[in-house]
Formats: sequence, structure tokens, C-alpha cells
Amino acid sequence: MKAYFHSLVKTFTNHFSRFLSLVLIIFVGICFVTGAGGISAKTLNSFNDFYDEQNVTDLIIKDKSSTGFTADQEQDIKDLSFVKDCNLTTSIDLKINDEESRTYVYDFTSEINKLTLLEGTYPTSTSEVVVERSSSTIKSRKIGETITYSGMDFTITGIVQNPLMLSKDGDTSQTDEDESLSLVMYLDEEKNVLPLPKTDINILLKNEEGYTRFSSKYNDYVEECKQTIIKKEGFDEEKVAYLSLEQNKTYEIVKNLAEKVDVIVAMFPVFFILVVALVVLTTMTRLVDEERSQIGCLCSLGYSHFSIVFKYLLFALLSCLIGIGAGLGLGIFLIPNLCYPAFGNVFFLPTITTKLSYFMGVVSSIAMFISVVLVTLFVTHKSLKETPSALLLPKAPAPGRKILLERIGFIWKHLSFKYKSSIRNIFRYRGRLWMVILSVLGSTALVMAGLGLFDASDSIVSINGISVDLTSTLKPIALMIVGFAMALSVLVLFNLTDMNISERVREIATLEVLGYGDREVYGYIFREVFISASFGVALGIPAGVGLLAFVFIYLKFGSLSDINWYSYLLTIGLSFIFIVIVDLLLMKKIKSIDMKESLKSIE
Amino acid sequence: MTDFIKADKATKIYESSDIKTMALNQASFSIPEGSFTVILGPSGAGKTTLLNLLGGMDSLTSGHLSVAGKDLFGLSSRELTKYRRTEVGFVFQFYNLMPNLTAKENVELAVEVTKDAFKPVDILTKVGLKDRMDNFPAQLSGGEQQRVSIARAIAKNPRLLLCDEPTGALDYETGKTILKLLDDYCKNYHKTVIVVTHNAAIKDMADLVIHIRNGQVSHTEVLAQKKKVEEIVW
Repeated sequence: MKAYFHSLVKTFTNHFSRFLSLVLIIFVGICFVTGAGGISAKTLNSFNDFYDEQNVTDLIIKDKSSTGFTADQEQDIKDLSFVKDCNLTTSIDLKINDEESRTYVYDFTSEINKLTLLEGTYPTSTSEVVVERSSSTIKSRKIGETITYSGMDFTITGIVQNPLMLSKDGDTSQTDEDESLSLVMYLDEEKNVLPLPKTDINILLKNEEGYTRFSSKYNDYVEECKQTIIKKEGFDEEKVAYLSLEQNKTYEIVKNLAEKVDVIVAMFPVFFILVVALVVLTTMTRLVDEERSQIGCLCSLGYSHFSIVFKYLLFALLSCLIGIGAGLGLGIFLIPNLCYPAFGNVFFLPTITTKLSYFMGVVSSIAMFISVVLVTLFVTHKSLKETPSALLLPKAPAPGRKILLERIGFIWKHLSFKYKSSIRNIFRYRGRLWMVILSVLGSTALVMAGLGLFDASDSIVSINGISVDLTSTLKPIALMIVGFAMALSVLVLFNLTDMNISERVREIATLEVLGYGDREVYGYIFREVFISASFGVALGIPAGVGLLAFVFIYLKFGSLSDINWYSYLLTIGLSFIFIVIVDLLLMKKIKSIDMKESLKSIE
Repeated sequence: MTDFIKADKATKIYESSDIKTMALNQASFSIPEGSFTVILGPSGAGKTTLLNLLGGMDSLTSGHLSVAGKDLFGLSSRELTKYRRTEVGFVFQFYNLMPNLTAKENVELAVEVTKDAFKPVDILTKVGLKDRMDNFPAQLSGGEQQRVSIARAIAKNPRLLLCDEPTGALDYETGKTILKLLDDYCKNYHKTVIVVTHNAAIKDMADLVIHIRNGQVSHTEVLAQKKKVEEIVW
């Protein structure tokens, strides 16, 4: 048992940098997926919380005939079993001095559709009003300004926020959908002297099931209540309009935005997780390959297959669990909280909710966990199928064979010896080469797609409001994707180079004995990584563009022509910078290899 | 004959945390140029340490060790690299060939960094691998691999050929052909060959034998009547 424990500890200490990079790669992947998956949920929950606090109406019955509703009718509605509360207000849209204006007669003390006083005070006399805060369509007005309405002068005493008008695009007129309101003012119901009818019944439904307002169940429920009201109260649909949140501009924009963000967020994580899973596969395969003689030794000492599998499973699971734990923990808080302000370009944002959404995180963690276990079992099982005596021998190298390039004599002859050697090495194990190419491809594609998304959101050639909103919201999200993709790229390259070095300790030591200088030895290792990573980068660019094309199709926004030419160059440039960074980080590791390793017997 | 190698109280102490190991204790000896020398001793006696020092793979703690007039004591790692590159050819017990390179390319690997090198093809022909040049190590027998390893060491045209248990992983007959190759290089090119081994039988073919025991040179032995490779038996 002591020997077993010793070999267990050795696997961890010998491959500590690999363990660490595995942890970090899984961490970055899970952190991104968890966080990105929580962005839209965080935003919708924040809005929902705010709607709860301000008792935003679920349904407004609007009188189109301007005769208005009576207190009896209000009471009838209030008596319905599913109605929690309701009140009557006046809201009239009409042009004042050529400005599209809405006038509310409002009960400032009412809890329904509670306004927030941002500045000044509520009216204290009949000639005073408060106005809605300015936005891209609602004109900015100062306290003390006067507004003439219906032949009366009103002085502005305060600025308010209507909970139904969080969009910075203001709201559209109810008489003309193409017109945006440029003035929204609120008269005090108690002090109002104008003879205005009560045009709106604002209904707050009992939401006993606790539906969130952005769910389809909620909308079904509202629709159901609406139908009951039509049946019982007999309001003529010709004369009245039923307005649910679905007809509210803010609600519509935020819901639409969240859906689009979810589309992006669904595409990128899939890619992320694939790359991470591939890296885990590569790492574990090469680890088990490297330790085959140790495995053979344990086998011949009579250790059970389970105890050997357990060792590698522990290595993979421990890195997986640490990575997942840290990724989930940080991802849940960090990314949604960082991205939420991005929606501030479009909305007057309510306070961010403390509710956590971990659906994507949990799903991807479970997927990651299962794939790590399966990959490790598969890889170790493959090794254990060989007999211990075969395992004790070094793995027979792939039979030396001429590579295709060698047949093209005029190219091969002109290659310097260094390149011949590197190219042979690269093509020696095709499976391994493909894994290197695919993982570099994946991380490069993510950088490319992130940059492209940023470009597309930067070039606002939009047709409608939603697109403008989307672009300004996407920009920070795109940057975040780029950031995570870059981190993933660096880690993937680090991991690959690190593996290359530890598999080549003997070769490196031999080269040193032969009199190769530090730089020549670095070249021997790094040239290989550079060449195979270059294939990955070259293929990663079109893959990233392809990924982006999918995103654009699903988003119905942006096009590949929006991608700036320098984004392609930037992706390539960044990849090579990452390679250089990784090389610099790992030079020390090569330098620290003792030449005497070359004298040791073959493990 | 001038002394090609001269060790003067060459000492190597390995220090790890608080344990000091005296791996080589004040070794003094000299080796003439063009001689075939065997460094003999049991495992753990300090042979490998001496080999590492001679090969410029490690540096002395104290004392002097000069090879071809150059004192290895206190050389920087860059100077040691240059020394390994130009002066020393190294033959490993386990061959240490690059598995992805053909026999010829393995020799080219060494030639690549040296100036006055022999042509790889010529050397491989000399060691009897003319028809195996394009084979990869995995396609060669142990003896053939060791011949590639020797070809790689010789191709650099070094003045000193260091061999670490060159027959250790080979059968008797193959081992003898390898020793013959080393002896030929020594004689035909007038180069200094040092073989480190625990196999006492090999000493009979040497000009000079340095006995190592407990990290010290116990005695040196000059053989006036040395045997031919064919005559030695173990």
C-alpha cells in the first residue's frame, strides 16, 4: 500500500503544472458558461423584482371611447376572485404644442404602479405637476418650468420614474404607434380640477403560483384572467383595450434582448465545453501514456485494476471538482453582475437582484464531470488491456514512416534539418496532432467570434430599436467572451507545451549532452508547438467566422461583412502572442531539466 | 605523450537540504591522448559522477579537471555547452536515439551543431549500417541502435569519446562488436576513448584502467600487454 500511495503522490507532484492547468481550464470553462448562462436570467429577475416592488399592473383595461369607467365597475373588478387589487387612473395621449404628450391623473399614494420620485416633490396645489424623467425621446424638463395644458399653466415640482417606462426609448403614444411620447406628466388626483374621465382600470392579479412575469406561464395566466373578465364584465372589446405587459414597450424590449443574449450564450458555451472536454481528453491520454511503465509496475506488483484506474480518476476528478467549484462560485456572481450594467445603455436599470441563476452552470458542470470520468475510464482502461510485461516496455513508437511532405522532394530537400525533425515529430502521432489542432482551433475560433460579435455590435446599421438596443448591450458581452476565450487559449497552449516538454525530458537531456545550447533546445520543443498550433489558428479563423454566422442567423442581426479586417489579424496576432507568452513561461522548465536524465535507464 | 586529461583533486559534493554527499573525493589521475581508458568500479562508487564531470554535464565543487588543456572547473554553463559540443562525443547505455528520426537523421542531429564533423553517411557506413540508414530506431536491434549512437558520437569528430556502460544493455557478442568499434576509433583516429563500466573483463583491452571505490581513485593501472577485443571474455 505504501508503494501505491507513493506512486499516487508522485503522479500529482510530477505533473503538478499539468494538474494546475487542467484545474484552470475547467475553471475558465465553467466560470464562463455559468456566468454567461446567468446574464439574461439576472436581468429578467431584476426587472421582475422591481415590478413586484412597485406593484406593476398585470392588466390594464383601457377605455377607448373616453367616457371612462365608474367606481362600480372598479368594485366589480376588485371583487373578482383572481384580482388582488385595482384602481382607476386617467391617461390621455394628445398633442400639446406639437409635442406628443401623455397626461396622467394619478393617485400618488396608491401602491399600484407606484412612481419613484427622483427629484423635487409631489404636487401640493392644483397648478402643479410632476413629469417623467427624460430619455432619448422624452424631453428633459427642469423643476420650476411651466407647461400649458387645457388652458391652464402647470408648474413642474418633481421628476418621477414610472415603473412601466424603464426603457430609455421612452414609450409610444397610444393614439399613434409610430409616435414616441416626448412629455409625460402626472396631475394629482386629489387636487385635479380638470373634468377628465377615468380611462384606465389598473389591475393587479393574485399571483399565487408565483409566476415570474417573463415566463410564458405568466402570460397564459394573464390571458386566462382577461378572458374571464371579458365573459363576466362584458366589456365590449370594440370600446376597450386590454393591455398586458406584453404590450408594454420596456417589457417587450427586455424580454427580446434576454432571448437574444440567451441565443449567444447557448452557442458559445457549447463550444467552450467542447474545447475543455477535448483538452481533458488529450491531457489524460498523454498522462497515462507517459506513466505506462508505472502502471505496468503496479500491475506486476499485483495491484488491482481498480486501484490503478482510481489513481488517474482521482487526478482528473480532483482537478475537475476544484475547477468546477471555483468556476461555479465565481461565475454565478461575477459575470452576471459585470454584464448587468451593459443593459443600462437601454434601460433605467432597477437594482440588481440577489437571486442566483445557476441552471447553465449546474448542467454544464454535470456534463463536464461525466465526460471527465468517462474519458479517464476510457483512457486507463485502454492501457490496462495490455499485459503488465508489455506495459513495462516503452510504448513502441509509431512505426517510422515517410510523411507526405517527404515525397514532395523539392520542398523536403530545402527544409533545414531542424524543420524536418519538427515536422516528423508533429506527424508522428496523428491522433495527438488532431487533438492539438482541434483545441487550438476551438479557442482561436472563440476569440475570433468574440471579436466579430464586438465588431457587429459596433457597426450600428440597424433597422429598428431592438437592434440598437441589442448592439449596445452586446458590446460588453462580446468583450467578456473575448476575454474568456483569450484566457482559454493561453491555458490550452500552456497545457500542450507543458505536456510536450515533460514527454521529452529524455530527448531534451540528450540534446544538451550533444552540445545543443539553450536556444537550440527551446527551438526543438517550441518549433513543434508553433507549427501544430499554427494549423489550429489557421483553421480556427474560419471556424470562428462560421460560429458567428450561426449566431447572426439566429439573432437576425449583424452580418459577416461587419467584421473588421483587423479583427482577423488581431486574432492571429493574439494567438501568436499567446504562444510566445507560454514559451517564455515554460523556458524555465526546459532549462531546469537535468542533463543526467539522459543517463537514467528507460522507465 | 602529453596528458590529454588531468584530474587534480577533483571533488564533487552533492548537497540536498542538509545532507552532503561526497560523490567524488579528491580524484587525481591523468590520461594520455589517444589512449583507451576504462574507468572501473562497482555501482555507486562515483564512476557516473566522474563521467558527468568529464562530459561537462556537471561542474566540480573543488579541484581541477582539465581536458585538452582546458580547465573545466568554474566554467559557465555556456562554456560547458561549447565544450560538450566541440570536444566530447557521448555514447549512452540506452542509446538515447530520437525515436522519430532515422538512423541517418540521428547522426545529422549531432552534426548539425558542430563544425569539423564527418559526413553522416560515411560514418554510418563505417559502423556497418550502410543499408540501415533510413530505418527508424524502433526498426533496429539493440546492437544496431548502439552503433547509431556511436556513429552519432563519432560524427562530431570529438577528441574525447565518453561511453557510459556501452555494452550494458547488449548481449555478449553484440557487446564485443561495439567494443571493437570503440577500439578502432581510438586507434585509427588517435582519439581518446573512455569507457565507464562495472564489467571488469573490459579492462583487459584498455591502455589504462582507473579504479574507483567509495568516491576515490583507489589506483590506476597501466596495461603494457593489453588484449585484443576478440580475446576478452566475460
